[in-house]
Amino acid sequence: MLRGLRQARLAHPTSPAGARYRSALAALVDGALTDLWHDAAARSGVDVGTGIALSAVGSHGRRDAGPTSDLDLMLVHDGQTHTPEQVAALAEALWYPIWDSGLDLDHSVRSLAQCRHVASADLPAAVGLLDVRCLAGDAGVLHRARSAVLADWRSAARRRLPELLNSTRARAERHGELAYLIEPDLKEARGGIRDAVVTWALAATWLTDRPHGDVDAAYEHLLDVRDALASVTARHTNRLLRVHQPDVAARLGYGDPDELLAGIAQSARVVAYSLDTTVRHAKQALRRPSLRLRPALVRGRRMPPRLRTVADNLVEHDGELVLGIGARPEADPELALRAAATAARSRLPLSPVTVASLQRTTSLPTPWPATATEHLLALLRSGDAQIPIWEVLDLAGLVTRWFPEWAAVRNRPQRSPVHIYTVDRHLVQTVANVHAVTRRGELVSTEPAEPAERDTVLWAALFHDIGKVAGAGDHAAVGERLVGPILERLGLAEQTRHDVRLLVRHHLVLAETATSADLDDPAVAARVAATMEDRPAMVALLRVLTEADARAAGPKAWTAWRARLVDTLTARVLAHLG
Amino acid sequence: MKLITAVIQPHKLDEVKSALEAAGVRGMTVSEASGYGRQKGHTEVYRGAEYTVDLVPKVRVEVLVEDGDATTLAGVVVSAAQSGKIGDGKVWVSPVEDVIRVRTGASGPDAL
Repeated sequence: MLRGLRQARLAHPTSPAGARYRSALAALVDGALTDLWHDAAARSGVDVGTGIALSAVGSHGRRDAGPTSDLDLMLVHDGQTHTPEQVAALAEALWYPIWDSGLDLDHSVRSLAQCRHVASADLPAAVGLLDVRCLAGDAGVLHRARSAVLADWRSAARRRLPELLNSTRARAERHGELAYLIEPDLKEARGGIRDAVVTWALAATWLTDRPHGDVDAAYEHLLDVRDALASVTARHTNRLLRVHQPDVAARLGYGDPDELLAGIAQSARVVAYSLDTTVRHAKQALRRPSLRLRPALVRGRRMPPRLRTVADNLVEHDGELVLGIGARPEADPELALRAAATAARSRLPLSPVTVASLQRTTSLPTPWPATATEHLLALLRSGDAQIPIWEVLDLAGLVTRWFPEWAAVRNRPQRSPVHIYTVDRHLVQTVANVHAVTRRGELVSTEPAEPAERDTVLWAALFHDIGKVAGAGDHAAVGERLVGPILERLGLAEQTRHDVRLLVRHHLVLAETATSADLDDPAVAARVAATMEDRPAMVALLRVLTEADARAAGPKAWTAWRARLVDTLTARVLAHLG
Repeated sequence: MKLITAVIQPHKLDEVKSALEAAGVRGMTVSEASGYGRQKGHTEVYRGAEYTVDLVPKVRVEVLVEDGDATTLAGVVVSAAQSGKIGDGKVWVSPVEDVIRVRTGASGPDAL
């Protein structure tokens, strides 16, 4: 019955794959547990015809469990039909054979009232109980338990939502972002399997629906990776260590581990975005609806709600930026850029419906109109506010439409201990950091004086690692070559294009020279100055880019030690230039 | 066994690493350090203002060696790190009671 179930799960054919594989695994386990139920009833002498049932919660309840997932089982009883001794005897007859078989078991015995009490006091238990499924016994008992828990969950949504969000936030801080980690926890990291389950739990409050389609596919993909990892290690683990990545990649049909990590990053970003959107909409549902947003009756006529105009054809609706009634995405190629700049300026998130509409915008002409470039610059100048906007535009495919070169660095992992982000996310973070670095008082005397110079360093920040493509040797040299056509498409002035190319080509010069050359040697300062064409303004821009780049790599890349060396070199280069 | 500790100029790290590797050293620990010796209190002019540099960036290199190799290897570090200028750093040798390799549990010279 249970003997050999552990091995049978691992040896189960993985084709058909995906959800059908997991359903087949669930059926295998369900069959064994049903047999166990009847056997346990016979051995304990308990009549299990009514008032008691065996159920699965968590992943097995969702039929999502993998080949090494633990069994999360609950014995539910109505508290009346059986004595406590009978319930205990049946529980013993159930749990011991499972333990003896070597399967990991998470078990509980609860009456209907206890189910409700536990769900109200223990958040993880409540989320698990939302997916409870009857395996054997009196399905009516379980139906009553599930209905009561769901009803409590919905009626207490206002109280439970902050609790759920706090635990989600704390988990993200503890485990990091799945999209950017080299050795991620597929379940617990932000954008991971548990975040998808939290999204379903939010939808179960009936405060809001959740996104469908892409997020379902992303969730199944993460489960596929988890199952491949389980098959490779034959252990219950969610942490995808480097040592296992080649085997997991091969099992899933990826060419190499980087492709695997890029695929995980994409799925994680979709899950994280879906969670954020669902949370935002759940919060909106809990707010008292604004009178402005309701259709009103004026002198007997039904008037449309009043929406605040934020920019041309862009209005605020219930805390989100949405398209105005006159917006025509198919005829307005600049609309997505204008919406992005407006979202950054107004700090309003783009509505998911608006993002879907923006996907219909036509391609920009080459070179871009000056207004389109100015919208993009407005986004780049907005500091940290631009990060979530880039995220949503990139997921919608708009960034690679503007810059096809972006596709080669999109979701690309960086196998360096100092880097915490994928290449594309690092680029966006570097741009955001420029804003912070140039605003700091200590940089006043060397910060770029002219707005045009500030813009130069923003362009350089956005594209400085665009050459980190597969197979690139010197990524700065490759980047210099790739960035030229991009800058032409953007319609930038010749001098700006030249300066951005120069910064991309030499963006590592200050950091590398400062830590590897004798700074007391006048020839070193002269060499760095010559690299920047003996132009103090370019040295100042490079200093800004160096810090923004290092800070975007991670907390280990920009230390007081490194800053001191870079500052000393910068001072000597500027002194050399008089 | 001895621990050789060297605090050197950052730009001398590559030369010291190469010299130690050429002398047969298979492992070392490198960390960022800040400090000063006799050169303390020099000033820099940066961004139009003069400021005092009291803690100068250095690199700390640590190597565990057998007793008989300590003097030779300390000399290797000194030769490689030397520029003859003030601020070149220091090298010191200290006794080590025991060393244990975490992976195998081997101790003493076998763990080096």
